[in-house]
Amino acid sequence: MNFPRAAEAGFWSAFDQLRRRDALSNVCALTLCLCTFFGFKDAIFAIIAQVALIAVLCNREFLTRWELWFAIALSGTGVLVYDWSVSDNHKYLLVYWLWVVTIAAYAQRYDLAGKILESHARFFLVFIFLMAAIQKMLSGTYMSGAMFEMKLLLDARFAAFAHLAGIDAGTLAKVDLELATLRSPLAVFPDNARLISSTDYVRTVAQAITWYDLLIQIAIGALFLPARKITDKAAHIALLFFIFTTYIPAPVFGFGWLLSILGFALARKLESPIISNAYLASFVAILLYQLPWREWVLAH
Amino acid sequence: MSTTLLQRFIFFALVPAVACAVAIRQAYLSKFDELSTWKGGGMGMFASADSTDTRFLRFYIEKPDGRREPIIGLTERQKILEQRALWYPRLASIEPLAVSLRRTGFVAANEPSQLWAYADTGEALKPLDRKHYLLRANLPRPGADDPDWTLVIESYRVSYDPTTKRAGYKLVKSWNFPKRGAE
Repeated sequence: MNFPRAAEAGFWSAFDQLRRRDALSNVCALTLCLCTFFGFKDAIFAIIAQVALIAVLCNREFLTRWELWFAIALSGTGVLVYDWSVSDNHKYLLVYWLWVVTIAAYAQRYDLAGKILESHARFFLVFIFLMAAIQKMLSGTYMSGAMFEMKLLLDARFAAFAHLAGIDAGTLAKVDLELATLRSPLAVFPDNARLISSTDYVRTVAQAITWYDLLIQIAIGALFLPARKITDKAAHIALLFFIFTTYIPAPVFGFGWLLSILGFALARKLESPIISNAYLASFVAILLYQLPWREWVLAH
Repeated sequence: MSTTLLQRFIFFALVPAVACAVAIRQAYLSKFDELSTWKGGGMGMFASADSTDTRFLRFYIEKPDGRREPIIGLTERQKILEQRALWYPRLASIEPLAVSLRRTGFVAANEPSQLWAYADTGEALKPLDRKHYLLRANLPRPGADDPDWTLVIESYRVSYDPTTKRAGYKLVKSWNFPKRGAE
């Protein structure tokens, strides 16, 4: 009967071993996973990331070589600049982070790698969350709840979540048809506007998501700002809660993975095995969130 | 080993400085030039109802007599170009789609379709005295001739007021692509 306990101990000791490795090696390994699993789909970037992975598997020392990261960062930058107006914001973040890893790998000779990773992880966590919060507060369509209401009604990626929240699939189909009629070149509406069949319940759900999303983003960004142990601890808890909950309905796994890397890089300073292990568990969770649960939910 | 001031700047401040500059540029383009908040490095995902759900394009062939016929079907490649253009509708992103459409042949039903007036509740009120041939992009036209019509592309944004539950749209930008030499 000792086997399950031994297996459990083995699992956690694997986590502990990972956590105790130097910061740069861990961050490089997780970032290389990010590039190969959720990076740019463009051939040039994908090939370079895959070759880098093979090189590291053949010789572990390549993992922290700045030349390897320079090649990946350069190809990511090229792809991003070429397609800048259609690249998602998290792809920009990926490219910034690739340059941070390149700089950190180069700065090993100055014994600054850990410091560089930590300072940039903090900057980007504050930057991402506070920039997003500021834009949300300045946006009329966000603050009115219209943005999430339209996402719930129109975005196919939210259909399963809407279903779980008890929003009738018939309402979604009806609104879809109403908006298609509104856009039709054969239909003339007074002032190009019409009533749609959204319900008060959809509005309530949208308002709840709107305020949750805004408040947690402000909390994470603001709590990481002072760089104090107590606020950092609270910020890590909020960030972990955000990662574990947000990427279930929102299939932006690359962004979730990168947030986990940033949190993990910064958590080292706290010397809290629970928080570091929770970040490692979040990587596993993000991989599991790729399961086609949305299709299962919609089929039943 | 000690570091110089320039090295310290590169090690600790260069990437954040670039990120801030890109975000400021994105905010400017988003405010004044229709770049979606979801794109361009401003970290404004889920910050406004401003994605491809709430933007759409209309395409018309405008004949020399001023009559317009809407294009309602695009090829797969043109649909990809359309999706890309929606995030930042400007001449540079619209032009590849326009070039492709001007080189395309179109098919339509034999009979034109009737335009209808609707009430804001969605009730069909009455047929209007206009009809359109609804065009669907088919195959590239053989030969290199440039057709005599003008391609009109219009960019619209959909808005929604949750209190009144009214959705509407307004024209944001419009481009004309006439026969070469007829500009």
